[in-house]
Amino acid sequence: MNVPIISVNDFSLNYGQERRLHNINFDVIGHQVVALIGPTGSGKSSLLRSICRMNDIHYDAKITSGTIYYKNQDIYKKEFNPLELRRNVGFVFQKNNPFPKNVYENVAYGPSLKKSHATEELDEIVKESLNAVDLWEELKDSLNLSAYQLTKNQQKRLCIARAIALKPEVLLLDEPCATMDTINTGKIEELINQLKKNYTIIIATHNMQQAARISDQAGYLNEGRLIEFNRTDALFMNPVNPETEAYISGRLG
Amino acid sequence: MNLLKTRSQKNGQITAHSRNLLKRFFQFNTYLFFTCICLIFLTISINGSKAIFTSKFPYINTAFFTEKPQTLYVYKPKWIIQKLSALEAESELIKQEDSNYETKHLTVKKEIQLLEKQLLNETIKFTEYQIQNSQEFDPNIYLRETYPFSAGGIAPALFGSIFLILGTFPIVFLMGLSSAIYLSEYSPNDKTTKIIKNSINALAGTPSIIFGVFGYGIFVLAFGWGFSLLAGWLTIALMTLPTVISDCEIALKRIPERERMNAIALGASKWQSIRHNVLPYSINEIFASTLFNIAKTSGEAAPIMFTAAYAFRDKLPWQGLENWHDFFFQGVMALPYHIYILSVKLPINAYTRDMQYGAAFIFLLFVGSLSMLGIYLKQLSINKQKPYL
Ligand SMILES: Nc1ncnc2c1ncn2[C@@H]1O[C@H](COP(=O)(O)OP(=O)(O)O)[C@@H](O)[C@H]1O
Ligand SMILES: [Mg+2]
Repeated sequence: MNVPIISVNDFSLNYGQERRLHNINFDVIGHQVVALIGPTGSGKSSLLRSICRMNDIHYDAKITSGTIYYKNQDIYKKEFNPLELRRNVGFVFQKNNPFPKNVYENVAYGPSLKKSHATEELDEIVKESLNAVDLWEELKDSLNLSAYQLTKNQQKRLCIARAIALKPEVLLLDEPCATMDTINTGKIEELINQLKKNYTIIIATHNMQQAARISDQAGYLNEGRLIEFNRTDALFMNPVNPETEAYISGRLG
Repeated sequence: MNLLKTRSQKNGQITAHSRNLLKRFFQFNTYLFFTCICLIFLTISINGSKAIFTSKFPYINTAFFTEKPQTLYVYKPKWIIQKLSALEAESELIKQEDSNYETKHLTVKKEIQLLEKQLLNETIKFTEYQIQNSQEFDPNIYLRETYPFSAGGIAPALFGSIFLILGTFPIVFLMGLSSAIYLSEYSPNDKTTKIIKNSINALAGTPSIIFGVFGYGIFVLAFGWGFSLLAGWLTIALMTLPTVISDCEIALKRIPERERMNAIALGASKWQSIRHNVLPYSINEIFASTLFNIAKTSGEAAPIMFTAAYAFRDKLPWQGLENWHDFFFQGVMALPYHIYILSVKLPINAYTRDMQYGAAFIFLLFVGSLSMLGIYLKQLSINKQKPYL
């Protein structure tokens, strides 16, 4: 078995006095797609944000037990640099939120944060990133179009491209298809399948069919507890926990 | 059933009617206020333009902007004054006797008007500078009156005000911006922050004279700076900051949280996220608020009266400095204080009016254009924020 790239270890999280994640345990192995399923409010976003330490920035969040490892490093240790972590573990928000800038600037933002690149270098990064999300052909002639003028689907891809531009190891996608129709959902799923070659992906979704289609491993979250975590086919075919079974059959049936 | 219906209809009509009345009432108040403002501005502009514009090229009375205030010496022919007072006494008598009042009174009144015109024409005016080169007039024939500050120009006050504003601006802008950034972006959500925020809001309503006295006690006396530009800058800045900080905090808060998270998720530091994704969209507004509020506070006489402004100083701020740092420790004249002195310490008559209205008019233009610039910048900033709103 490979060394897990992300390892969540007895992890609990409070917002103020309220405990929203309870003793979560699971490992993610490189170049796999992991799906986190569960109803709204079950803590999927909170868990994803915890993995890239987005929770300790603006929210009143506190880790109450356990920790998370990225490549065997405790990311909640004092001396650990969260800025570096976020460059390796990219987070794509549920809500499309491109910068109010043009397409090029959106993609180039991350890479140019740390050091200044030569223009050609940056051009190349932008091209690669947009290519990776199948946007290059569509947008190569309108790179200075405002990101707000793109379609929703394009914006989502742009946000993924923006994260990819940093060449991360892990991508965290928070309900990427929440507001999309089936055609666009299919396109995004296709994209995830492509990205899998180069990245480890953790995707939060409440769409069970989607989880079944695209993931290698899946976890079922409910009210902040990870009820079951297993290989996707195992989880969906014969769930061990009756709660999981109820949820899955309720949703599928 | 039918009865009910008609009654409710009637009720509906009454409400519609009273709503209309209410609308009229609100409209009336608005228009009344606006008319008053226009009247004030018009009076100042019309009377002020007489002092500032001339009928000959270059159509502007340049002396008004380049010269120091001078005393005006007026020599009035005594015989006209005597005749005038005699006529006025006569008109009083006519009023009391009340017989054939209308026609008689009219003729006297006309005579008085003619004489007054003659008096104006035959009165000889000298400014302070001119009088040194001219002979005295016979005090038996002429009555001498002197009006301080009513000749010459307002240069020291104008430049004093400009320097006061120029120095205050960077202090307010930097302090306001950094405090607002701290309060909006960095401060923990705790009691101390709450106390600070509430105090700042409360300070915004503090009367300006309090700041003036405070500045006098601290900067002028305790620090020993005397009446100085520096003391004036800091006093005006202290007075302006509460409003600017609250304004700026609101401007920063208007940028949605996700814009910051967005950058953080891409590996930006907190400061980078603020600098790249918050400040560019609110800096214009912050600049505008600074300008707008300085325009307001620099128009107050109270805070500078005790800290920076002299009633009269015949040097311009850059004249007669021995060291470069003397610049900061010199008192200056300032327009609001100058206007206060012109209107409170002098009578309002044909000889003082020009200077009074002229100074007020220039000050109005000065403050008005700063405010307009502020409003324009704010609009620019709002346009830039449109994607968020
Ligand atoms: N910033 C926050 N502050 C306080 N409570 C939060 C915050 N974010 C989420 N929560 C709460 O945590 C729980 C889990 O939310 P979330 O992680 O968004 O779930 P999901 O993404 O599965 O819908 C919810 O009950 C939500 O109200
Ligand atoms: Mg969510």
